[in-house]
Amino acid sequence: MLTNITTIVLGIFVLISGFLLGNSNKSKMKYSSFLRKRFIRIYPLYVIAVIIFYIFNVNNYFVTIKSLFLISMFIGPAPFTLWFITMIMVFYLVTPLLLSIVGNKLKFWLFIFFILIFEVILFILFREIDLRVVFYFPFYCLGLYCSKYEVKTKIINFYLGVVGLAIGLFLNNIIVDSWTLTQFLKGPMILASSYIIFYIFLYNEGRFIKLSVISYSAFCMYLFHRPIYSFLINIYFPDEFYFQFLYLLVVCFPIIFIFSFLIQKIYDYMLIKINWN
Amino acid sequence: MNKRLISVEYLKAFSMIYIVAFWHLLDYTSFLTLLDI
Repeated sequence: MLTNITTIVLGIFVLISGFLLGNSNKSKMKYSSFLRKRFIRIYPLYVIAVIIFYIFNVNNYFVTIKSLFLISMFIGPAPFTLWFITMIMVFYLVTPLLLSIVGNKLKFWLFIFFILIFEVILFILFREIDLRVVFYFPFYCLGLYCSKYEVKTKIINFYLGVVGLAIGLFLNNIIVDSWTLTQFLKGPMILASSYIIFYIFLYNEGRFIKLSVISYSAFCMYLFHRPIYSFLINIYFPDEFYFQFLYLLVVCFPIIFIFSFLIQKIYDYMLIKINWN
Repeated sequence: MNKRLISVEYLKAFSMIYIVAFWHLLDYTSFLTLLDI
C-alpha cells in the first residue's frame, strides 16, 4: 500500500515535469538550446549529489560512474534515489521530438506506444534496461499532452481517470508469477491515480495562494535529503520511537528544507553571475 | 504568475514533503515494524 502511494507520488512528479516543460516550451525551440538549458539547470547540482552519495557510501564506485554519464537507466544498476534524475534526463532527450508531434494526437500516442513496445523488447532482450524508465514514460507524455490540450479534454478527463482507476484496480488484483509483469499490471492504477490527483489540484486552482518556496527547493531537497538525513542521524538519534519521529520531523526536515533552499539560491545566483541563463 | 502553475507548485511541494519527510520517517524509525508491514 505505502509503496503504491510512493509510486503514485513519483508518478505525479513525472507528470508535473512533463506538464511544466510543455508549458514553458510552447513555441518552437531549438533542440540544442532546450537540452543546454535543461542540462545547466540539472546536471551540475546532480553531479554534486552523486559525489556526496558516493562519499556517504550510498552508492558504490561503478554505480557512481554510470550515474555521472547518465546511462544508469540502460546499463544498471541505477543509483539509489538519484535514479529519478537519470530517468528524467532520458525523457528530456526525447522531449523536443515529442513536442514537435504533440499537435497531432494520433501520431503522438502512436509514437509513445511504439517507444514503449521498443523499450519492452529491449528489456526482454537485454534485461539491463531499468523498468522504471518504461513505467514512468507514459506519465511524462501525459503531462506534455495536458500542457498542450488542457487537463480536461474530450477523451482524457476525470471520467476516463475514474474508469482507468477501476480497470487498474482490477488488473492490480490479478496474481501473476512474474515480478516484472506484476509491476506492469500496477501501471494503469498508478497512472490513473496520479492523473486524478493532478486533475483535482488543477481544477481547484483558485483555492491556492502563491507559495513557492518548497517547490523552489524541491529539486535540491530530492537530491540531498538522503545524505543530510544520514549525517544528522549519525550526529544524534533518539532511542525512543516518538522522539525519533519528532526529531526527524521537527529538526531534520526543516534543516533539509533550509539547506536545499540555500543551495538552489546560491546556484541560481551563480548562474546569473556567470550569465549562463 | 498563472494560477494554474501555483496549484502545480502546491502539488509538487506536497509530493516532495511526502517523499522527503513522510517516507523517510517510516524508513528510519521502526514505524513499519510497529505497524507490522
